[in-house]
Amino acid sequence: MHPRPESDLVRSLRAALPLDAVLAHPDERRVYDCDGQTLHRSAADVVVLPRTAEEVIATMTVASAAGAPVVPRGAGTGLSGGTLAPRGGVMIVTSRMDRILSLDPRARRAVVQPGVINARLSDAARRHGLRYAPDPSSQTACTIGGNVAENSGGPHTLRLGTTTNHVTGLAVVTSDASMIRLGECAATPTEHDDALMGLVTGSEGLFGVVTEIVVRLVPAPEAVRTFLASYASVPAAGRAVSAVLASGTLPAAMELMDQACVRAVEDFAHAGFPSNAAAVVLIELEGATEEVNADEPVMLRALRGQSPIDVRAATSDEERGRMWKGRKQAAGALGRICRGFYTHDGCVPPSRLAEALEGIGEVAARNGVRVATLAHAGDGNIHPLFLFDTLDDNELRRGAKAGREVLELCLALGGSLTGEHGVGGEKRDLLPLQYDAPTISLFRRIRAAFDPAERMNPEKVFPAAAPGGGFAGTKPARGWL
Amino acid sequence: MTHAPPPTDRRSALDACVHCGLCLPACPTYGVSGSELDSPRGRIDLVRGLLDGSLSDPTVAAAHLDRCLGCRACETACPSGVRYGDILEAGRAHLLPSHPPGRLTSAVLATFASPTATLWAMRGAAIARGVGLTRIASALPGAIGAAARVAPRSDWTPWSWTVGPFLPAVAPRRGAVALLPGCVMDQAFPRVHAASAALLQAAGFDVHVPRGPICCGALHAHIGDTEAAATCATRLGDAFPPAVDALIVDAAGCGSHLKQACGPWEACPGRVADVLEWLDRHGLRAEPRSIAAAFGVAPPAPVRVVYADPCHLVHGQGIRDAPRRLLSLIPGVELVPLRDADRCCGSAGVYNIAQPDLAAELLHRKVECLHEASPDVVATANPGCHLQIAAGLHSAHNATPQSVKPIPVRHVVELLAMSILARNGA
Ligand SMILES: Cc1cc2nc3c(=O)[nH]c(=O)nc-3n(C[C@H](O)[C@H](O)[C@H](O)COP(=O)(O)OP(=O)(O)OC[C@H]3O[C@@H](n4cnc5c(N)ncnc54)[C@H](O)[C@@H]3O)c2cc1C
Ligand code: SF4
Ligand code: SF4
Repeated sequence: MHPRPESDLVRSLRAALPLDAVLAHPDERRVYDCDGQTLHRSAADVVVLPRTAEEVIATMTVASAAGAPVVPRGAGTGLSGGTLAPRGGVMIVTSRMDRILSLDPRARRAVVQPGVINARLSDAARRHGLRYAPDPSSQTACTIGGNVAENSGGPHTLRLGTTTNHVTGLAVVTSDASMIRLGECAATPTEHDDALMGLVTGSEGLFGVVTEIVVRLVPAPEAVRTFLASYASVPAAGRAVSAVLASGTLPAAMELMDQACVRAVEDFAHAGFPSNAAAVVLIELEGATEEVNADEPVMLRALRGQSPIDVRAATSDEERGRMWKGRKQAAGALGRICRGFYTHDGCVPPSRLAEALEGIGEVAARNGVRVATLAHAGDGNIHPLFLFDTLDDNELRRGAKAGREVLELCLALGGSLTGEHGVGGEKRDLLPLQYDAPTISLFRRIRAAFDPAERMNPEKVFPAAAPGGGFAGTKPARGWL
Repeated sequence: MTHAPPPTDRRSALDACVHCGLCLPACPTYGVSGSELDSPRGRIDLVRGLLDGSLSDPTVAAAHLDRCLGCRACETACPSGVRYGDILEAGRAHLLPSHPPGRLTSAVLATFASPTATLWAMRGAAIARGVGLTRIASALPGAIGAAARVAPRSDWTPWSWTVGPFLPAVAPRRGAVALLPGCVMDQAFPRVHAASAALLQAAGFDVHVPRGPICCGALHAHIGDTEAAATCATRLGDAFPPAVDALIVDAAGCGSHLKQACGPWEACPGRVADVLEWLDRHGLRAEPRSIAAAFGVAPPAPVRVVYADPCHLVHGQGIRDAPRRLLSLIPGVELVPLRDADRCCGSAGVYNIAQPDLAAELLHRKVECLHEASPDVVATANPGCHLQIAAGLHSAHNATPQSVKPIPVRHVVELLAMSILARNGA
C-alpha cells in the first residue's frame, strides 16, 4: 500500500522547514498518536519537529494559512490525552527544542526552551546549589513546556507551589503565528503579565505553543530529613497526613502509597518499604537546620498518634534516594502486576483524605475492579490506579465507571476533577460537574481572546458540543491502557 | 545484580509497555535525533505494528530498528520491566526475510573512509573467518562482506595458545573457574586475558583455559542466525571442563549474551560471571599498590580514573557498582565522575559500520564527556568500547595535539593487575 500523495499542507511545511523536521508518513505519525494515557489514539496529519521558535512560527504560519488545527506536544508523558489529534492537523513536538539558554545562579533564574527535560534543568541548577522545585514523578522524562501547559506539580510542590509559582517569563506563539512575550521574556513587562502568565500556565496547549520559559530557581535546603511511616489501614495513613498538617508543621513533601503500590515498587526499586503495611506515608522535612530540628518531634508525634506499625528515618542519602525512587516509579512499576492500568487524578481537601481513601476502596469493590492508590497526600491530590487483568470491554467499562465515581466523590468532598494531570480529552465531558454554564462560557471567551478560531489543541478541556462527539468515536489505543 | 524479573506469562513483552515515556531520555539515539521514531517507546510501537500488520510500509520500521544500538539503556530506565531486547529481536526476526542485513551495502564506502570502522571491519572479518563466521560474513554483501573478502587472514596468535590449558591458583585455593578465550578478545586483547587470569589465580582460583578462539555466538545471534549461535553454544559447552565453579568472561558483550543464551548454559546461567562481578564478590586477596608511576603521576597527586560503563555490563547484566568498587581499592586512585557514564559510545557491535553518522555523533559526545572529566586513564570492560573510545580519544588528540592530551584506555582488570602484581603494564 502506498501512502497517498502529500497534501498541500505537508508540501508547504516541507518548503518552510528543514528536511528532517517534517514527518508525514503514516508509519511515522503513528508513534505520536497518544501520550501516557493510552485509552484513545488519533494521529495528526503531519508531525513537525522544530529546533527554534522561528521554526515554530514558520509552522504556525503554514497551519494558519491552511486553517489546520495545531496540537503541541512535549515528551508525551501526559495522562489526560492532551496530545491526541482527533481532528488531525499539525502536531508540533518540542523534543528538539531542548537547550537551556541561560542559567544565572546569582539572579536564580534559568531561561529554557520548552523541550528541556525537567530533571536536566534540576541537574544544571544543582551544580550551583540551586534547584527547580516542581518535581513531577515523570521528571526524568517530561518537559518544562509540558509542565507549564499542565501546571504540573510533584511531591515537593506541597511547600513550594506548583509550576505556576515558578514561572517568571513566557514566550507563546499563538495560532495566528504571532509571538506574545510576557514577564521576564518581555522587553518591557507590563502589570498584566503576571495575570496572563497565570492564564497560560495550565492552559493545556489551548492558547498557543510555549517557546521560551523563564523559571525561578530556589536554593537547595540546608537540611533534609526523610521518614517513612507505615500503617495497618489506609484511612489511618490518611488521618496521619491530616494530623501532620494540623500540627502546624508543613513538610516539603508528604506522599501516600497503598499496599498494591508498595509491593510493585519493592520488586523494582528495593526501597525498603514494608510490604505488610496497608499504606505507607513518605514524608520529607526540609529547610534551615534549626527549623527542621524543631519540626521533627512535632511531626513524629502526629504520625505516632495514628498507631503506626513503624516509623523510620532514612539514615543515608542512598537510603533516601531509594525511598524516592520507589515513590517516583510506583506507577510504572504497577505495570508489572497487571495487564494494564488507568491512572486517575482528583483532589480533595487534605482534611478529608481519609474519607476519600475509604471511598475509593468502596468504589473499586462496588465495580469489581482492583485499585492501587498513590497520593500527593499533603495536597489532597489522589491518584487511584485501576488495574486491569483481562482488558475486555466489560472490565474496561467497569474501570471507566469506577473512575467517574471517584471524581464525583472528590467533588462531593469539596475537591476538584483534576489535581495535576489536566482535563485534556479525557475529562472534558465531566467539566460541567465542577463548573456551572456561565463559568464555562467565561472560560470559552478567554480562550477566544487567544485563539478565536479554536484551532489550538481542539477537542480538549471544553465539553463536546454534542454528546458522542470528540473522543467517543476513537478506539482504545492498544492492548493496554 | 538486579535483573528485571520476567513479565508474568499472561502478558507479552509488548503488553508490558504502558507507554509512560520514562525511557525516552535514556535512549542515546533519541538523544541525538529527538524523534520518537528513534526512541524505545516508538520502536516498540513500530514492532507492534509489524507484528499485527498495521504498518503500511515496513521500510520505515526497518530504518528505525536498524538505528537502534541494542544498548538496552531503555531496560534499565523502564519501571515496568519491559524486555526491550526481546522485542527488538522479534522485530528484527520479522523483518529478516524482507530486509536482510545486506542493506549495509551503502555503508561500505563510509566504512573505508573511517579508520576506526575499517579497523573493526578488518579485524571482525579476519576473526569471523577464524571462528567459522564465514557463512555469515560472505552472505553479507555490505560492509562486513566486503571486508571479509579483502581482509587478510589474521596472523595474531590467540592468547589461549600461548598459555597452558591450566593455570593453578597461586594463593590458598578457593575453587576453579574457566576463562572464556572468546574470539576478538583472544586475538586482539591478550593483555586483558593475561590480567584476568593472573587476578583469578591470585585470588585463589585455578583457571582452566580452553584452546581458542571460541566464539560465544553473540554476533550470530545479533544478526538473527540462531542456528549458528546454537552451534557456538554447543562447541562452548563441549570445550569446558564440567567441574568448574563458573565460566568467567572478561568481555561484557559475550557475558551478556551467554547469561541469556541458548544451549548447554541455559540450564545454569548463574555459572556465567563477568570477571569484575566475580572478583568483587570473592575479593582480590592481595594488597593493591599504587599505579601512579605507570601513568606518569607523582604522588600525592591522585591517579584520576574514569570508568565508562559498557552497555553490555550495566544494562545487559545490571553490573554498575562492582567495577567502581574494585577501582577504588587501588591506593591513590581517584574515581572521577563521568557525565553520562552509562550512555553508549556508539560501538555496539557492527553499529559503527552500519550507522556511521549516528555512531560518530555518539562517540563525539562520549569524548566530550571524557575531556570534561579530564582523567589520567579511562577504564572500561569490553573490547568494543575499548577500541571505540580509544579511537575517539586518539583522533581528538591528533586533531589538536597541543591542546588535547592523549588519554590511555585500559580494561579494569589491567589496572587491577598492574596494582596487585606491581607489574607495569602501561
Ligand atoms: C509515570 C508518570 C508520572 C507522572 N507524575 C506526575 C506528577 O507527579 N505530577 C504531574 O503534574 N504530572 C505527572 N504526570 C503527567 C505528566 O508527566 C505531566 O503532565 C507533564 O507535565 C507532561 O509533560 P510532557 O512534556 O510529557 O507533555 P505532553 O504529554 O507532551 O503534553 C501535555 C500537554 O501539554 C501540552 N503541551 C506540551 N508542550 C507544550 C508547549 N510547549 N506549549 C503549549 N502546550 C504544550 C500538550 O498539548 C498537552 O496538552 C506523570 C506522568 C507519568 C507517565
Ligand atoms: S518501555 Fe517502559 S519506560 Fe518506555 S514507555 Fe514502555 S513502559 Fe514506559
Ligand atoms: S536499546 Fe538503546 S538505542 Fe535501542 S531503543 Fe533501547 S536505549 Fe534506544
